[in-house]
Amino acid sequence: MTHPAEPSPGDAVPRKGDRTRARINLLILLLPIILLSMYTLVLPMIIFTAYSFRSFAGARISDTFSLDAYRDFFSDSYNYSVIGSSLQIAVVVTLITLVIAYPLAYCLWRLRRPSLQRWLALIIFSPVLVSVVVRSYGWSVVLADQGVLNTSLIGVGLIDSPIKVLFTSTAVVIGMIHVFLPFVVFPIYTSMLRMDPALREAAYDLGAGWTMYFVRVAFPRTLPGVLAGAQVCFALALGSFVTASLLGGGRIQLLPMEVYQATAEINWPTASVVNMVLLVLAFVSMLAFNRLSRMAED
Amino acid sequence: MGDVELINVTKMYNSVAAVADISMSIPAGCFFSMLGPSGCGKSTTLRMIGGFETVDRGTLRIAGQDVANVPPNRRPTNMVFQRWALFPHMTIYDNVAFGLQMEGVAKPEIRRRVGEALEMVGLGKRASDKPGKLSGGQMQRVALVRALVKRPKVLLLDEPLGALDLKLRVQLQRELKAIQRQVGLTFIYVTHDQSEALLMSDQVAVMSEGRVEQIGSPKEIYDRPQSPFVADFIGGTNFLDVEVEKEGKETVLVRSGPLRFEAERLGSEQASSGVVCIRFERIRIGEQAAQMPFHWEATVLGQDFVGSSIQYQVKLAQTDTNLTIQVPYDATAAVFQVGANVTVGWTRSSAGYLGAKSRIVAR
Repeated sequence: MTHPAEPSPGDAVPRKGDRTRARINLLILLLPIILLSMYTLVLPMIIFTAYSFRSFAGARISDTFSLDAYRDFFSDSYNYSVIGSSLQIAVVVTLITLVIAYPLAYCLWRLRRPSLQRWLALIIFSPVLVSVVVRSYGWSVVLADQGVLNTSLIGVGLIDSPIKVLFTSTAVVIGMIHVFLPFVVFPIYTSMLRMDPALREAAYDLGAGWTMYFVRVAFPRTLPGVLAGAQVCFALALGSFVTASLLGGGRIQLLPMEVYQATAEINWPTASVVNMVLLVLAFVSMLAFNRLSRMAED
Repeated sequence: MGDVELINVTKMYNSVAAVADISMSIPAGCFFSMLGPSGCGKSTTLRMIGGFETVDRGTLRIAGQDVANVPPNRRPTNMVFQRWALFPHMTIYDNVAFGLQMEGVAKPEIRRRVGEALEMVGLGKRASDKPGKLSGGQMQRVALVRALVKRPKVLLLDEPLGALDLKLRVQLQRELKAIQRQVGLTFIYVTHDQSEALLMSDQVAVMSEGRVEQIGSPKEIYDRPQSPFVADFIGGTNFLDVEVEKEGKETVLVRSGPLRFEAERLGSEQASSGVVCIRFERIRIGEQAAQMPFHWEATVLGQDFVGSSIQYQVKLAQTDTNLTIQVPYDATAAVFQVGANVTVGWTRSSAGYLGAKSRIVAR
């Protein structure tokens, strides 16, 4: 044995000291991320939670426990419409992204030439490489009344006057789909890669055509990837701020913008309450998705 | 006429022939094996019959019909895949029922046929389990009945036992053979395991480098190999380069250095030199050898005990010829130590002569 630190094959059960050392090594490796998430996630969460139980009056935050911020938020029907449109946009974005992402992932999977595959993967991934602000302004150039979309549609004679897209929820949805697409394509693609290629041949061999193969074999096998992608997309859409504000032009009000406005007014209790609402929505959706994936897996 | 016929079939992969101009005719109801080392084209041939590879040149007929343009889902064949390819998200029942559902068979009949099929392999009670819960042997049985339940004309099996351990494999080999007799279907079986092919098959095609070396019954293949490759691939064989002294119709008198002996003719080729193959277990050693028509003195160079038998490496006296001899070990026969001088010998029927062409390929 040249490496005395390694357990020799004869040592069926590692000694207790070894196990403790292994655990300490693991802890050392995890320490940076634990510290980082403590400082940037857990601590702010605690502070936010604490602030949500304060009241805000006359530009001052009270020092005493209060449910005023919650009461104010939930008694205003406007806030319900904001929650509603936030959820609606997240659902619509997730559904459309899935519809676009699935065939894309399938193409990526079925491409035989590795060079083409790399290029397609890069193209799919490209929105993430561009800054949010640049990308959003890019879309406003395309979608504006005098933008590329309208001028070319008028040019071919499909429409007479420009259609209003920019600063509508359509623009917000388009912008979000563009960015979130890779986050959905790749989990689906991965689930396709994991699929045994012989299953396809087995399905054909047993008399299935492509449709039956897809419906009965391929799609059920990729469902975990679909759900993972949808989960990420939904959470990102719910929390999206820059894309929504730039392409919505202030006319589309979503929960993250309420947080931003309240923070700008130093109204931390309200900002915290909206944040709590966002958190609960994200958490509930996560639970629902996890439940679905477990059902899809067995 | 065969149930499955291949006439000059060729399959190219990037200008390399994976299967080169092979012809064979597989009779109906036959347990037919394609045997060969990996890369010999046996799986490709099977996949062409199943419709998973196109035939680049030649004709492929199944039950008299040219199937060149028939996709796998319309062929009267079904395949048992190498790693079984069971649908992991479906129950055992649904796996077996899948093929019948694709045919549009009525529900009650599906239930009856799937039930019977699962009973046949003793898995009736596992119908509602997912494949992940089964052992390898059980999955293999499910894969088999999933294909059989479709009542194909030809069943294709692509090394279906390759992933199992030896004991279970031997048991399943017997089961497969019994099921084949029971259903009377044509089975085309691909394997690289010679004992598997010999044990189960009615006919064996030995393949090498995209070509068929020999087709015959297991006994023919073993007793009368038509090429050094076949002799070498199946069983253990000694090769001797020989000069021909006198050619007879059935026998040939050959000479290799100081050795002169008669050998059975395996091919019909006339030549002045060739190769003689002698099976390890057909050479006698010790007292028995002295009674053989051809025997010589030799020295034991090595001795390997493998349980049921002992293998000796011997060097024939006054030659450079080394031979391997295998004798059954029954704990009573004399065991020769390394360095011992012994007599070795064989009969005419133990030595097979192959013509000159074989000589180059032999080693």
